[in-house]
Amino acid sequence: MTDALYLRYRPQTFEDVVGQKHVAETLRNALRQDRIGHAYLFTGPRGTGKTSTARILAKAVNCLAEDVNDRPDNACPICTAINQGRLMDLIEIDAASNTSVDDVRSLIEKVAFAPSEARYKVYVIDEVHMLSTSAFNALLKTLEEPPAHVIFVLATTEPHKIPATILSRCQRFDFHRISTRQISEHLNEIARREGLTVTPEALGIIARSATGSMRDAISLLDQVAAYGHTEIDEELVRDVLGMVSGLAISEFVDALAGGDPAEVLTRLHELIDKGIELSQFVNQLIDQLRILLLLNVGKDPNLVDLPDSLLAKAQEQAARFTAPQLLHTIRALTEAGQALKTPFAGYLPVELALLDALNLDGMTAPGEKPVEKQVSKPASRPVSSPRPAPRPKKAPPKRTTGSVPPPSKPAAPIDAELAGVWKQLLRVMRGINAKLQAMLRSGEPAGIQGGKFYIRFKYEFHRNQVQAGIDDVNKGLSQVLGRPMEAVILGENDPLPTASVASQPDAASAPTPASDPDPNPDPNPDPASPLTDHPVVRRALDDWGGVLKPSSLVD
Amino acid sequence: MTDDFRIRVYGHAWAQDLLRRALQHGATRHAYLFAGPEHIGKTTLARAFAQALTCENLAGEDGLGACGRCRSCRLAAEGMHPDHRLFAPAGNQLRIDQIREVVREAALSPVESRYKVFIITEFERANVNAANALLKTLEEPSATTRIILVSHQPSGLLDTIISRCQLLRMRPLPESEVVRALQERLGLEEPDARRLARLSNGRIGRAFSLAEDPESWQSYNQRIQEMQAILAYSPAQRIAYAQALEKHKQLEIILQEWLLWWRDVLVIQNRGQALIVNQDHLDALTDLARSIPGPQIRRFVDAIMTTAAYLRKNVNRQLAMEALLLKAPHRE
Repeated sequence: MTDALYLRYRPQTFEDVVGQKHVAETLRNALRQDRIGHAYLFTGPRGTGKTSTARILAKAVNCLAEDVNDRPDNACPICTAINQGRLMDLIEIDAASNTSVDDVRSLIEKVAFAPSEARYKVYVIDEVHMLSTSAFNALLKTLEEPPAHVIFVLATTEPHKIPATILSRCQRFDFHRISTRQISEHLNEIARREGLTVTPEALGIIARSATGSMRDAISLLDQVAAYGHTEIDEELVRDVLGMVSGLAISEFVDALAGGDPAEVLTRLHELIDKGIELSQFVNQLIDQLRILLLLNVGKDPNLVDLPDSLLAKAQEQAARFTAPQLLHTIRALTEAGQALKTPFAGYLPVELALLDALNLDGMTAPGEKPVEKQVSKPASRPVSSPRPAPRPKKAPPKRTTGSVPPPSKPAAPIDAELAGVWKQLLRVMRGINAKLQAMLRSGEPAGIQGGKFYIRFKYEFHRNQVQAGIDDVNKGLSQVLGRPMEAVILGENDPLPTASVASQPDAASAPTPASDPDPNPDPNPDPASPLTDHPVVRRALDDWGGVLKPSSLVD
Repeated sequence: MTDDFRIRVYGHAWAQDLLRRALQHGATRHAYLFAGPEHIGKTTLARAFAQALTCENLAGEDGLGACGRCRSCRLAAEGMHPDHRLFAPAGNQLRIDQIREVVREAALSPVESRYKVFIITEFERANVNAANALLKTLEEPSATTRIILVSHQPSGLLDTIISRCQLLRMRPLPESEVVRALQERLGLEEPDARRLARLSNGRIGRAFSLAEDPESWQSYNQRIQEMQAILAYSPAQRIAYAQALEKHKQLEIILQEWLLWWRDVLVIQNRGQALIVNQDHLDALTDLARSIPGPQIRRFVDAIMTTAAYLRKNVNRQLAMEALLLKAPHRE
């Protein structure tokens, strides 16, 4: 036998159809009371039993068994003929390849003829959503009042594509996604009959991956069984699916918590070299981080469905992250998961997401994090020491390589300049992110120093909100200043990194290149000052060449 | 060696294993979907599987088990087998006429072998009608029919198609496999092979085309030089360069090269020197990593990816490239 398992185990009786009790019961009652409709519409996701139920219905209405309750008995000549696919009176039509009105017309012509051997002629029109509009319309009259010996069963995965005029002429049955538990029970039964040994964990993974479709689940079991192992365990299933073991995920999360990007990337590539399926891995990682997030925000471990052995480890890991970190990481990974769908960049989206997740942290000044932590949730974080220690280590080297060395040259009074930049920033931010701008207004500028712009907020809520949109603030700052600048959020009582900064003006904050001896570095040009000195104008001249004519500057 | 007509598949050992077992036990399925990134050997595996399905001896223990000597194997290797049918998108789309041809022929008996094998490549290019037209055949074809769908974008396929197939998710090859293949097939030296393997990112087809075309390798190095020069360009110069570049036929490949290059810079900034792709440019990369701030590079990488997405949507190539180059980091 080379049948796929899902064909071999197609349900043959109403009882066999898993998870669609509401449909099976209704149809059996209709049979018992001899109240069979003339047109049915079966809808529901793939692999939930629509075509199978249609065939069972065809058998049941035609079965020769004496007792109605026994139908279909799968033993009488009619049932056998249907099971072997050779009953003349069961007409299965593939609506997807016979879409035209002519196909429907030829069908209608034959409808009038009496059945050749069975009681009813059953027309099963599969994938009916693919019929053309005119084909649907041609069907309307026949569907409303077919000859007494005809039953129509329309089946589709996409009921929204069916015209209302068709819908109102049919008895509609919605097939539901099958629950994970029901799938794994059914798989267990199939495995038993096939003589396969499958561990409950393996069944669980298969059932979950099938997302409610029995055909997917059985296909998957089939695929795993094709390896020819006598026992099918978790590991084998993971291999086939390209999934990573729970332990590997946990270790990866540890690496993330450690905060060393090189370590994280190395681990990622180790996994890639082992041949994992990246999108599966991203999903698994998101699942794990979601658990940590739940543990992090809610103190109730019952929120997550984990055995005790894993729970302790998860709680320990949860304590090593802050909730915003987890949120940010999950968001970045979700985007990466989307980006993986177009294969242009390969593994790159995942790498970038991980680096982003790690660098979010580097953006906050050292020493600031613990304060925020204590304020936000003092109770939920029994282990707070491992976190702040490793993080700051990696942040400074990266920043210093990045930023331009600040020349030490005194300039205009810092306060006026700060206020100017702040005012401009608020104006620019309105265009970039209006919501964020509103948040920013409740803060005040604290200082500019070495490529960093410090903003002080009284309330933690504002801090968190602005921190979440820090990229936009950076964007705004670089627009205002004409060079990359990084916003750093401070709490009410946090000191600036160097005490002297607030009073000592820092020339790096001047918007013009350091080499330029510009006496007026105010980025908000005084209308009186010559426009030619404006950094934007100068940059344009540098970049594009040309001469500035006085006339073009007048008003 | 000369009379060995086996179609050789590099990597994907697990998939070859699985298919060989199925063949040996006479338990092959009626429909397969080989999914995975481009240029990793999906169609090659499909052809090798087809060869094994129709092989007269099926004796081999390695690969897929085709003997590679019988008449059938020879015909398969030459692409002349009467029972092998390969369908590729005609133009931009896989047409419903082509699918109808599959449906019709799938109902017929094989000409001379046990099976009639249909390989349909780039199945994501089948439009909704064409894909739907295959559903019934795909679920219950005749006992002597085998259908292999190949796609690099399984997410673009109908769920109803995927759930009817045995899905083999193929992945890019590990670097070591690509290196071995390049050494075996083309006799490359180890360092060359390794460099190509990294550049190709596990896509063996791409590695072979790079290796077989020394010009593409040369022009790669040249483009990398140019890209570094751009950093010092003024906007006017950048736009001029964009205009020259826009005429390049394989813009997407150039963007991929840039992407990998800047990724390397980012990786170095995060102290991942061992993981970089362009190992032979380590000095230049390190230099860039020191002088350009990480966030700027990060933004440029994003811009490259966005531009690639735009290009796939047929935007004005010149405008897209100009905008991208203006966003490139600036360095004196």
